[in-house]
Amino acid sequence: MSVLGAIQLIALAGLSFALLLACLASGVARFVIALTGSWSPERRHRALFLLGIAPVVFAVFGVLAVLAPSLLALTWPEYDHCLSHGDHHLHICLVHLPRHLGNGTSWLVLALGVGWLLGKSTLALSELYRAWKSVSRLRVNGERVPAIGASVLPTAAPLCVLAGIFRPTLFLSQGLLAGIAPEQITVVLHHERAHAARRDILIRLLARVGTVFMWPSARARLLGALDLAAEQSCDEVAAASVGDRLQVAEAILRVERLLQTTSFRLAPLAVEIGGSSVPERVAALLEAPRHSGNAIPLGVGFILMLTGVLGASAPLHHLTESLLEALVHR
Amino acid sequence: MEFLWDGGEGEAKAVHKGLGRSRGIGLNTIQSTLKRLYEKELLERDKVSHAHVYRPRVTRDEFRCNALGELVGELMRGEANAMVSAFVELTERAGPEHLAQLEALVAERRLSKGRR
Repeated sequence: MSVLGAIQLIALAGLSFALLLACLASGVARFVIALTGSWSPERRHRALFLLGIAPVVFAVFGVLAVLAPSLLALTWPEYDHCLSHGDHHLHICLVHLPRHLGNGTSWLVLALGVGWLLGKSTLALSELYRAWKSVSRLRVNGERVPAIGASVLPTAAPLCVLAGIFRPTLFLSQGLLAGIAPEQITVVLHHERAHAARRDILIRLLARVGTVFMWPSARARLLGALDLAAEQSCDEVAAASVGDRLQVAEAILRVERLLQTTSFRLAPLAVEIGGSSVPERVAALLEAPRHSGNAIPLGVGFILMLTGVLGASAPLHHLTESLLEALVHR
Repeated sequence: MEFLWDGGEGEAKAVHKGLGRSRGIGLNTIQSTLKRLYEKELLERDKVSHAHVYRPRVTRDEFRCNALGELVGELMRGEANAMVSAFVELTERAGPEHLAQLEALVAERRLSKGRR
């Protein structure tokens, strides 16, 4: 009986599910982005987020579904299903642990998968740590101005950033406040408060984790579309708050114009031309607002699919055992 | 730095007396911190008798300005993107001609809206 063997099987099953689902999500990402293009930004954002987190969430539920028979047997031994079938193939079971460890190929596959995941996690954590240090320094340098509900940075660079994951703080620079009109500052404040209320930074972080197994180009496309939908959702909130869509478009263009005059001086090697979402945001604001549509069916559909995965526990359990048999013991 | 900017005496023992004891920081830590700040060119020093006497090389305002400049550079390079969201992307720009076209389009809409 081998605990290590059981861990190996569970890890292989989880990795396989995540990779298969990520391949599927990568394949459909382009079509989903095109399909949701005509939806309201709010609804599109939810759909793209659900697609992004689907591979990891469904992989976790898939592993739970595969383990469900043995979890059931742990709680009620009379439901132990292992006794009902022979010993002709491997068992993913927490009650009757595998008798042998897998072969060398299966360990190599697992080592490669876990190593790749650890490498990605280390890079992501170091990036997060650097970002956290930058946000801490923003907090040290910003001076809180309760009248506008933001911190002001004493720099001529035209900055307007929301920083922090769980309790984000809004930072405006003196350069931005001096460079745009008061009504445009109102737009900026409404827009950024909407990001804070929607917890967009946290959502983007979750989406980055959920899409980690996706094909890089599909992942970049999906995360880009998610960011655009978040920005457009907040533009809509700002437009509804000030009652003038053109005012929001003017504020975006004004800040973009300010950044054009300074960004190449501040970060000459980092700034790219042409990748900006400004044209799409302004174009959307020149059109009439799209009706939000009902976002509840999306969430309900997602939960139903997860329930379906758990409901298909028995066939999924046997299918996974049969597929892993080929990898681990042949 | 704050201690020295406020006119504190720049010998390690004096810094320890004025700052280290109250915060529970040892003399060795104070000495190595002063040395590191000197190596980073934030302090300069003179040897008086057997001890180094440190003094600030940059003013408080110059230091803050430099630190903020570095921070702005990091933001513009997208190095804090994991925890930051900007009103308009900091790392990617619309082309100048494209921007001028959009500005003209919005101005035209504003004008026609005003006429109505």
